[in-house]
Amino acid sequence: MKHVVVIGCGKSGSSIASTMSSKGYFVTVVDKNKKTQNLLDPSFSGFFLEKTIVDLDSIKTLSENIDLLLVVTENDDLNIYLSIGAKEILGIKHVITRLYDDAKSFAFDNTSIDVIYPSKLAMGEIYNIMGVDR
Amino acid sequence: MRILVLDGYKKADFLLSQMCCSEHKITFIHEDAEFAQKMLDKYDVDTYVGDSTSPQTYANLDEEIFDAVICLSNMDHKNFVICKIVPELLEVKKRITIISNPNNQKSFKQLGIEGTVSASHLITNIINKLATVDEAMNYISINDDHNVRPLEILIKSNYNAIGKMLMDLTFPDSCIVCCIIRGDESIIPNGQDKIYSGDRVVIFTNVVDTNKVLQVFV
Repeated sequence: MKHVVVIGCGKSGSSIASTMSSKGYFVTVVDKNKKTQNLLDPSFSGFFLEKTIVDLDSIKTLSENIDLLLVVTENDDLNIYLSIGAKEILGIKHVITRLYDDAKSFAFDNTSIDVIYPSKLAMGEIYNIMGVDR
Repeated sequence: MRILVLDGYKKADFLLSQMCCSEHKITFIHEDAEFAQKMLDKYDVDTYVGDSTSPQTYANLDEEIFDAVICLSNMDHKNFVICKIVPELLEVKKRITIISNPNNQKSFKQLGIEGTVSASHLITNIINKLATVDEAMNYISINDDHNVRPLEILIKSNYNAIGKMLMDLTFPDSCIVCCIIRGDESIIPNGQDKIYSGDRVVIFTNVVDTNKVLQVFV
């Protein structure tokens, strides 16, 4: 079974974790705040860990074999550091992260990390609705 | 030198106070406008208010070439992002960052950020060495990765080496006696120089041989 680790159990983190769990993945969710586990779907069958992840060792201790790592904390800088470190040092194959400030996107130059930019996506949608061609 | 200092409160204040006396031209960026103003009043620095991890902040700077950038935030990931983005935005020769969580030091190095300073590392190293090696007065770590370190030994009155010439003492291969400090005098020694009580002998030694070096004198 594929092991998915989600760092940050906010709206997106909890929702992705719930979905992946229902699809049959083995999911571990980590958040510094215990209350965030209430955001998980009642059917969520993975693990929730209350833990502050500020260095790469703490990701390593979660599991030896992480197939997919999602770094979706509220802090852009932390997302950048953890995702780059997880990819380059821990060698996790598939790393996805989210960046609110797309001005910082060049921090990911020359990496194969998948980065989601909510602001860009929202803008694209808005232009679509308005029928504006960019 | 042109130096860019970022974030930090007490550390920044102290660093600026030390560096402003010399011939450095310092630019300071801080997100707290009140603190930035305080530094501007206190020292001869250019200050900018802004988020140090946001590329827009750097677009406003007058200078674009710096000899060094020093990151003083207590959040390691913030310092990491600064080190990562600054070379893309400015011409920077050297990046220096402090590290709060000692676990991060190795990771930073592996990710290509060399100039890291971890206070907890330095302190634990010094305490460790001072606690185990009573005779070593000063034990400065040059770099954690290097296994050669300077060692300063105070020659106490009961040591066997007193009155002997350096050439008659049997040192391990992996060390060199750099200097003998006697009162106000600093002697670069040769084999004929004698050791006296109260001398402070400065030796560069391989870390593993520290105790062997001490045994030479005791």
